[in-house]
Amino acid sequence: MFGYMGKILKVDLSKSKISEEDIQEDACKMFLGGSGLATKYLFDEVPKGADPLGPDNALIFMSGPLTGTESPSAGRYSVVSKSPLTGFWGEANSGGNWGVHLKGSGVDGIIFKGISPEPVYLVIDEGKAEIRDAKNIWGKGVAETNRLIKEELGEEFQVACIGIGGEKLVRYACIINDLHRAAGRCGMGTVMGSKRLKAIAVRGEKAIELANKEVFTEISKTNYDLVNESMLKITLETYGTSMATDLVNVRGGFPTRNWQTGVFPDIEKISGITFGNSELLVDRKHCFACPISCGRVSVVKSGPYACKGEGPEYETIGAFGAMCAIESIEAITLAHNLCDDYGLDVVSAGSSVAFAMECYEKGVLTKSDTDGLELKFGDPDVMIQLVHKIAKREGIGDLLAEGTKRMSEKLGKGTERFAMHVKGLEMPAYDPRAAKMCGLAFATANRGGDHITAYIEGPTFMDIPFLCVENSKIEDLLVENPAEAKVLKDLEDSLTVFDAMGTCKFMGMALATEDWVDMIANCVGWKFDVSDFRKAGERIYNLARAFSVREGLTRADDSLPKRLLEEPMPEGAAKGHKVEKLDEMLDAYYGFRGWDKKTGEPTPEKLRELGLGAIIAKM
Amino acid sequence: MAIKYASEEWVKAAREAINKNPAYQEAAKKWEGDMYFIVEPEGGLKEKIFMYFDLWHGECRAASVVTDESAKTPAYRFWAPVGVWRQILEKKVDAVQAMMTGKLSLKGDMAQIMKMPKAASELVNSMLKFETEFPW
Repeated sequence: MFGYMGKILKVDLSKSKISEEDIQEDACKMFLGGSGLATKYLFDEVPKGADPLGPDNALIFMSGPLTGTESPSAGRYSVVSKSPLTGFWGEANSGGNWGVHLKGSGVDGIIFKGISPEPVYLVIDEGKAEIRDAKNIWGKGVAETNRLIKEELGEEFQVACIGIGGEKLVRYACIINDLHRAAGRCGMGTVMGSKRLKAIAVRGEKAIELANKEVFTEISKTNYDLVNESMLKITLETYGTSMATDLVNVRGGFPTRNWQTGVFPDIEKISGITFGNSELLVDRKHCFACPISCGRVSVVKSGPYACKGEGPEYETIGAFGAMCAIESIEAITLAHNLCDDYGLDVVSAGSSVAFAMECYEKGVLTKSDTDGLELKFGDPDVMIQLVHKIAKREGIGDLLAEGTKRMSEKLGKGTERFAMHVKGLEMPAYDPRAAKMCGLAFATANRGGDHITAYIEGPTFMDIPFLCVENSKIEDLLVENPAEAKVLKDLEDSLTVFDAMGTCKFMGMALATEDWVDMIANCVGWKFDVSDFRKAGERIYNLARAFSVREGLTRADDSLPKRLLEEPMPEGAAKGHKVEKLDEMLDAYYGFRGWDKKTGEPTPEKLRELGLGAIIAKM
Repeated sequence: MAIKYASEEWVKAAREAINKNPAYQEAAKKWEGDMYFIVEPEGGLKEKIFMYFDLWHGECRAASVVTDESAKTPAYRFWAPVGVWRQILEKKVDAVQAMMTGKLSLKGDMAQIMKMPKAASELVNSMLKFETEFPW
């Protein structure tokens, strides 16, 4: 098969047994690869009602057909599992180089099941897989784990691993590759920790066979040049993902003090532009085959927050900055690097700290609950201490390690009103009261409170169109227009294909669908046109939804925290606004999706139309 | 001699400078679209000023100050307070940075703008070829 290595590894950690399976061409034609193909395996392999942290859950790593090719930004892989945060479909995606080397080692993906009796890690060297003892790296941070594995195996090995957060089953632990690239959301690192799987080290240089190599190379070069000349490159490379901090704040939607307002008064102290023009930024870094170096290499040379690493990204500045009212960009940079080394999702970690700070402000938490710490908004030292405590589940950190949903369930006293999550996944730093379509996007995203699913902040807060859909225009940020729910549906479907191809979603802003189908068709060698692209995205999106429905998801789960529905924004460009028509927007959205408006479930007709008839009886 | 910003004379000088800038002509050879640059009141400036530029395939075909906003229906509109325009023309703020911080607003087909950052940069460079006075 062109574009694929043709092999999936199945690892039963309970029995310490590895087997191989040929990749199925029919499945690839329907789900491409990456998170698409992984979702198909998840649906088939994980029994209904499985404990996310139990042996029946599967943890699936999957590259896409474009991963490792010359296509722009084709270094990505996906991790799919049942999420310990939401109890539904969970997915995380990462760039860097690890996914490329996974494919180079001769396999397209790995499916882990079971639980190892002792800590282990997996080595794949030129197609040969082996489970090794991980006792000497268990308890180590990400950097030290990388160092020890490379010392044992060789510098050429690329490592994806969990940190101490994953070992301690912090519910929002992530998986880190290339030291600082995170498969961040949904607690995929927690599932990995529950299986006592510390790391996966890969090495290999097997070539990827392409159907029409010359044509593929030519198209890829043209597309690379297009991205290279785009404004997307200038803005992202100059300021990183944090370029958006100022604009979102101007529009009154930068969540501040745990979403009590959408305006951070000291934005100039922590903004992406401030960071980009400061001496903290020492270099820029790109993922495999990407024309855009959006990664930040950073150093805080001295002082209490001295550190060396990468970031902060937009979401770190949002979660550890404005949400916690922290004005120190140095402390935010340290928090980012601590999360990388502990293996924590910055969005969920920062949000949990911000939520705890508001609980303290309201007297729900007191010093007797917090190991004597005063959890005051704006205190960078406390924020940093909490990151350490979360990763180690130490003292108050044990509560924060559960995430805001479970924290509010334990604390009670009306705290669920300002526990800022959807389905258990903490929301990113874009307040839907200032861009209403974000509310529908966060409420419906398959992962939970998530912005990457539809990248709706692009056409809303930033007014940047996506060329990979026919229309991504949102006319008025502050108006809830049911007709525009079609834009959300189209973006979700289209961007789902990027996770299946193994490419970065940012590229959807710079290249049109026609550009992508040319690359895919010449990569895999079968017919793949714009219609196939859109259908594949919709099919994968519906399959993920169907998995969650099988696990108990209903329309009631497609909602938002009460703060966003009932508390008007107190100041700024969105002053007086709240999300008011979520039900009406949901009706419209389900209508465009062909889902049952009462239950939010994909209808049998829709599933059959997408070639998913076989799963109807299993839901 | 400095020319008063956003005057009829300034707009004509800008048009001439654009048409004499080969770097702009090359970068904007695929650009199609006229625009308003809208200068919003601030300080001593009391009323909005609308500057119209018709840009087509690397050429500025027409340019004028428009007193009636509805006189033209350009494909693109850029607006900011006069102080922001001044910062951009004095190269104290990059035009892209001004957009990303919400200081400079725009309406139009963003997809086209996203594809041609060099053209935008050279457009600004053209306007630096002569001296500008900001009397407000």
